[in-house]
Order: sequence, then C-alpha cells, then structure tokens
Amino acid sequence: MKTLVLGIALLIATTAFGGTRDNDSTCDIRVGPAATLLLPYFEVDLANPAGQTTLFTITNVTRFPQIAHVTLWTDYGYPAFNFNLYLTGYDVQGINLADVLRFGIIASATGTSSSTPPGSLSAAGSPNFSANPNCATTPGVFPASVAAALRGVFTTGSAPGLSCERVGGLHVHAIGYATIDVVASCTSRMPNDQAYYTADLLFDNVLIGDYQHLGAHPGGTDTSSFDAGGNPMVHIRAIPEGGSAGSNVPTGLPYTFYDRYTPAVNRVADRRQPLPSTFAARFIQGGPNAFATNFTIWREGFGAGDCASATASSYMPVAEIVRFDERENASVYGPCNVDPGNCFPAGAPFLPATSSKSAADSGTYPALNGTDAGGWMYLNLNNCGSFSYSVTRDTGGMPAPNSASSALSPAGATTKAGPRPSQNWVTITMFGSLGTNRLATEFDAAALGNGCSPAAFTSTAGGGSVPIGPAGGVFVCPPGPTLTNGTTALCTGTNVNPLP
Amino acid sequence: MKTLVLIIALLVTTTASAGTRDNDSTCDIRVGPAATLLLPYFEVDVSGQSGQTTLFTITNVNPIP
Repeated sequence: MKTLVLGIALLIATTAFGGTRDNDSTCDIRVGPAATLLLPYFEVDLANPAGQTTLFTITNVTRFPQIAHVTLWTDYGYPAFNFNLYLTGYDVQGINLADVLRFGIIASATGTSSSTPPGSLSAAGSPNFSANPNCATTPGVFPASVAAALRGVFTTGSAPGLSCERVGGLHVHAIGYATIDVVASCTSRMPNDQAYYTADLLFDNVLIGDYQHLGAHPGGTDTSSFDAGGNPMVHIRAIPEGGSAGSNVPTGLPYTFYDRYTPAVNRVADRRQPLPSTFAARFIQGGPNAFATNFTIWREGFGAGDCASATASSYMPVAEIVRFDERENASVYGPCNVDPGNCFPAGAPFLPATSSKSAADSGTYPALNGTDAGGWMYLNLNNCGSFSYSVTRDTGGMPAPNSASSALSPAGATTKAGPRPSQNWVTITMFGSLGTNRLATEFDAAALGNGCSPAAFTSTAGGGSVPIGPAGGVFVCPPGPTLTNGTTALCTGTNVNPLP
Repeated sequence: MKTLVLIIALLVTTTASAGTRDNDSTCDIRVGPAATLLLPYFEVDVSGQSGQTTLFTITNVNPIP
C-alpha cells in the first residue's frame, strides 16, 4: 500500500509540474524548429523585375538531411504547384518566388538534390527517409510551359485542365501562400491528397524559415511607398514529434492544421498544431508622416482543396472586427449574428484564403473616426465554421473524428456550423516616411487565444455579451489567493481550453 | 483497491491529455497577451543629429483598466 501511495504522489507531482517541462504540451505557436512552415502570403510582380517579390529561406537546424516539400497555394486555397528541397545537415536554402514564377528557376540545379556534397558536420542520410527518397534529380529548373501555366493560375485563377472556372483571384501580380513540410521522400503529392499523410509526411520539428517582401509598394496595394519587410514564417510543430511516415501516433490536439485534407479515419494524422482565430493587431494610419498599415491575413478555407472548395474559399465571412483608436473609441464591423444558421454578417468583410490589405480599406475594416493616427483592431477572423472541419475526441477510449458542434463551438459563439472556429494568421506591416527616412516594419499580430481555444462569442462592442480580451477571459486566479481588493467575484477566467 | 486503480487511471489520463488544453503548461514564448513585455534593445541619438530613436507601444487588450 505504501508503494501505491508513493506512486500516486509521484503521479500527482508529475501532473502538476509536467506542463512546463513538456515542449509538446501546448497549442501556442512559437518561433522555433517545426515540422511545417507557413508563408502566409506572397506577391510577385511578373512584369517588372524591380517590382514586388517575396523571398523565403528554409534552414535545417539538425545534422541529419531533411526533405522540405514546398507547396504553392492560390489565394483561394488551391494547391497549384509543389517542389522539393533536399537540405543537407545545417543547410539553408533561399528561394526567390520571382525566379520561380518568371523563369521557372527554383534554385541552383546542383543545390537542391541529394547529389549535393554535404558539409563536414552533416550526416549522410536520415533514418526517417523512405527506402528510395528519389531526390537525386530534384529539379533546379522546371519547364517554361509549367512556369507559364503557374503565372496564369496565380494571376487569373485559371489554367488548362482545371475542372472549374477559377481557383484563384484575378490580379495583376501573382498572389498566394506557401506551406513547407518535412517529408520522407521527394514526393510530387499535394497536401490535399490523403496519401500524403500515410506515405510522405514526417513529424520531426527540424526546420526554421523566414521571408522578405521586397518592392515599391506594400503587398496588395500600389498607393504607398515601401522598401521591404520581413518576418519569420509561421512555425507549426508536430505534436507529439517523431515517427516514420504514416506512423499513427495519438495526439492530444483536438484538431490539426491540415484537418481538411487528412484521411477520414484519422483527421489528426498530420499532428500539426492548429492556428488561432482571434487577434489583436496594431495599426498606424495618417498623420503628418503618412503612416500606413497593411494587415496580411491567412485564413483556413472550406472543403478539401478542389475546384469547388476554391470558389467557397474565395469569399469567406469574417465574424467580427472592432477598431479601437488611441482614445479607446470603438467602431465595429458587423458581428456574426444575422442569420443563426449561417454567417453573413451585415456589413462585415469577406476575405479569401490569403490577402494583404490596407488597414484604411473601408471595404474591409471599420473606419478610423477622429484624428488619432493609430490604435489597434480586434480581429475575430472565424469564418463561422464548416462541417468540413473536424475535432477528434475520445469515444470509448478510442480517438474519433467528429464534425458536429463541440465544446470548441459553444452555442451562441461565432461558429455557426461545424465543431470549431476556423484557423487564421495575421501579420502587420507598418510603413511611412520620417523626413528622408522610410519606416518599414513587419511583425505578427498578437493571438488572443490559440488553436485549441473555443470560438469567440460576439463581443460587447458588437452587441454581444462577452468582453473583448484574451481567450478564457480575465481574471484568471490561482487556487487560494483573492484579487488584491480581497474579492474573487471576477475570478471567472481560465487558461484551460475545454476538451472538444 | 478498485477505487485506487481508477484514481491512478484518471490521473494518467489527465496527464496525457492536459498538455494541449492548458495554456499555462509551456515555457514556449508566443506573441500574445502577457504579464511582462521585454523591449530587448533601444537606441536614441540624444544629440538629435541623426534623429535615431526607438518607439514602443503597449496595448491593454481587456476591458478592465
């Protein structure tokens, strides 16, 4: 019995302190080695060599070679092109998307294959590669006809052979987003192919990445002057980490980044962290220095990455946007409560899977009233949900996916269909002129929750009952102490997300 | 004894699944509401010749002052 009691005590101790020791214990997104990198937005001016382009760089921070599988998606969330980068140990590989789309050049023809001589500290191979990784002829250059087709897809949304009219938006510049996954072989499969999750995808958190936008104007606009901005990519870890391709390891994540594309029997097969839905985004706007801000917003689309899904992902509602000026005056774009069965908020914007727009764009964001030159916006970017989304919960001791409403889509929240809010990411680009100097800076918006947080309710600013603030609410009070004023009545917040 | 075994089983289950639910369960640093903010470096040209300065902004994202 003594042994048993000791065992229980140890278990309790482990439970109490385990969280801060286990790096697999969170849905929070940090900048650190990851299994998937998300480049939320790219833009390339195809006509002007001095125009906009996006560079990105992938680094393997381990001694083992890794295969990075790059997928370029349209702004409607359609996977249009993929290629592989064979990274030797500690390898770093930069890509200029202008080279890819204008000239069909991925990188040096000798620099992206397994024929590349490794550095002295690099291991010869990876024990997680498939038996035949097939990377010896990874192309540095691809045919001009393919590059031409890609230019069409990323500017008009159309291409020969498509079974629908359009899979991307109509814009002069090529616009889209990219994902980069650790894989076991130089596969040509897209992430919307279920076999990708049973044969290709790996789970080692080994890559870091960053990007730079260069150009005369900030992304998505042509009115303001701009030089460059850069930021880390979104680093999405596999939780738990490790295992071979197709290894079926349970995860505590309620759903995953690639939820829409994974096999029906195992919707969390990718084990990738999900992304949040609510953000606080700072802006500067106007004033004598012509301050301006762009919000670049990546959004999870609808469906499974086919033509029909692209159309649905071209015009997705935004649950709620509230702009605060520096005097806390709030202006609101329609909360998601007009049609309880769907979500078509009055006056609220609709945004595609990726976009970059000025914070002053009155068709997207509430107006800045008054004379302040800055403030912040509350962005509840939930697209109001979808039955194509899932959560996985234990049913009789076995994990089982479900698309019905769940604790992550509580009744009355801004998820009107399906089990959870949609995933999103926001970056902020600020720019302006300070005398002869240019201001240009880019950074991530603060997430008010994480991908495991329940859908937000309509805020008090939008006529709802829940104050804007961190997911879970304030105040969070540890067991025992009161607030400083001796009360506990406001101790209603929690940092623990509900099970789905 | 059966009760004891059940308690142990529950504790193990809680340990296994709690991690992804508890936002206080990590040493990872994310960009989100926090109790302390670190500005890692600032620089100001106090002579005013170059105009070099550092701006920072703090936002309270909840309704309580």
